[in-house]
Amino acid sequence: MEEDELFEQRTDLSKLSAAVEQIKATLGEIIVGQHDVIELLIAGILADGHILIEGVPGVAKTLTAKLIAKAIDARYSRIQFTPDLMPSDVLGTSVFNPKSVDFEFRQGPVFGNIILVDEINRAPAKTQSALFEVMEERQVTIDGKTYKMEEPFIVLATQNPIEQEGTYRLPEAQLDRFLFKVEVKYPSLEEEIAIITQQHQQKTNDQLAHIKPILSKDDIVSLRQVVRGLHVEPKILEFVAKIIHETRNNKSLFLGGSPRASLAIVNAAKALAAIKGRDFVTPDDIVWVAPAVLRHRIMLTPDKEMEGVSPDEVVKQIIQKIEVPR
Amino acid sequence: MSKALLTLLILFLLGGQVYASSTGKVAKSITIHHQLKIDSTKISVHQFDTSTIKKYRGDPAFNYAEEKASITWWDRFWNWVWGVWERFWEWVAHILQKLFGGVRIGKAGSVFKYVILGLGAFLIVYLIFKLIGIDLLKIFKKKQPVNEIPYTEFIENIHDINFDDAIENAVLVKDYRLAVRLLYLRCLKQLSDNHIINWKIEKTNNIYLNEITDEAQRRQFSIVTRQFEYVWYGDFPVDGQSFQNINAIFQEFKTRLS
Repeated sequence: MEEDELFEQRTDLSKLSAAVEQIKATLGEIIVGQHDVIELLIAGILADGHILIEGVPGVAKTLTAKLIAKAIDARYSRIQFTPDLMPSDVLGTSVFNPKSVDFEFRQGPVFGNIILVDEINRAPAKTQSALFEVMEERQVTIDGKTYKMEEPFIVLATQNPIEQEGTYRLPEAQLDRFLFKVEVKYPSLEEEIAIITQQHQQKTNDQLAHIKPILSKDDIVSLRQVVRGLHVEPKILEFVAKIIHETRNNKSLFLGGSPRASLAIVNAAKALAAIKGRDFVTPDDIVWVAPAVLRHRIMLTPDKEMEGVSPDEVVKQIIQKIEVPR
Repeated sequence: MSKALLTLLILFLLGGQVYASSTGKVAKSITIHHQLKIDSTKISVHQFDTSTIKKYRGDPAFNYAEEKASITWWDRFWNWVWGVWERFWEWVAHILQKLFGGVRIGKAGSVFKYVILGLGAFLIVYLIFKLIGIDLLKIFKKKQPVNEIPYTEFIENIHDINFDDAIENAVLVKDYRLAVRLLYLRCLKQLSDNHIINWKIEKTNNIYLNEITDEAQRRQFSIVTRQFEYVWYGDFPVDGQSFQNINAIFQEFKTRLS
């Protein structure tokens, strides 16, 4: 007997799997390598989260975000964050209309489904705080009036590492609102050769123009519902809670994970399980998503920072301290 | 000639004086009668306020006399330290001079002195940082690989379980879910006993899978892992019949491994 025949599928993941495969294939034609980055981006969208993409200049952060946005048939807007950007430039502002002799609210670029915030850490904290409400509550309150965002509402932000010139550290409250911080690394030698060859043959520009949407807004909403309904064993929830609890007591950390981080791990693991074709979460899913969920939420102690320890290393150590439920 | 000139000069000067006396007017004598006036206003004697004077005397801002700095015990201590320090270096120079057959050490000696001073300063800074929990030497060192961390808890050790009995008991009470779990743990024990995997409680199933180098073994382990995960993490229902099927897959794996 085939082992797959032993268990009947409880959840229909066929549509989700097909869409994921199609997105991966489409993005794979333009983006060389970066498989983990693409998988995390898809998982983030399915888990109803916002994603922060970090990398040094020139590693295709913005291109990847644009491609993901193109793959979804939804209202897309892009905001280039600059040091002089004001909150009203993002959210919108009330303008006096002489005809109606009244103030009218002009929606800012944040009113959309997929918002690409490019170079997010080039704007100061005042502008960043404009995103707090809309990222968490999916609404904007201006002049005492609340405007609800249309579903899906996804913020894809790119940033350079804070060591780069002209960048600000994002407020902790804002970082906590991002489901993932995805780190885009340099490509390998083989990947670099493939990128140059692709560009040399002028494939990239043509392909970028011909990308057709794979998922509609409604598809995203229904797939998210499927993901939300996946099974998670209490032992796995306990495993997540232990990881987060350990971040709060770890000597290498000045700031641990919040309860929002626990929820983020579970939601992200569910999305990953769905991508893998399972309707339940395993400890492997948790271990795989934990660094991307925690690396921007935890803060190292000054001495660990001076020693050059990375948040990922600490997360790895923390996970190694906790027994895998089995 | 000169005598004549001198005589002429004296006569000229005397002549001038005589002329001046003869042309001066004689002043008339005037008698002035003064009348004395008596000041009868009341005099009130003002006394200096001794407390204010004392206050001003105590204020160093009004003290214009330069005070000679007095040598405190702290200054005396440092004078002594520097005295010892100088004598020490004189002694070092003397020893080095002896060692090098009377050759003067000169500049090399003073450089050596500063090297020792620098090392001493670094030692003090190092100790201060060490006290606040920062190891300066580690900052400049290449990062060490992450050390193994002791486990926080041990729930069960696969090497301590009597699997045959435990599986039999689970099947007897129709707890097939537990029976599948025990079958999987026995697989892990077998792999660990055969040094195919390095068993540790913090490792996930995928890590064990990647530790298996033999392709056939890895494929077979992937199948049993799938059974375990569906039952244990997926909470898929297992009845007697499906347990028999799952058990057959595990037995096949056991046979191939042994």
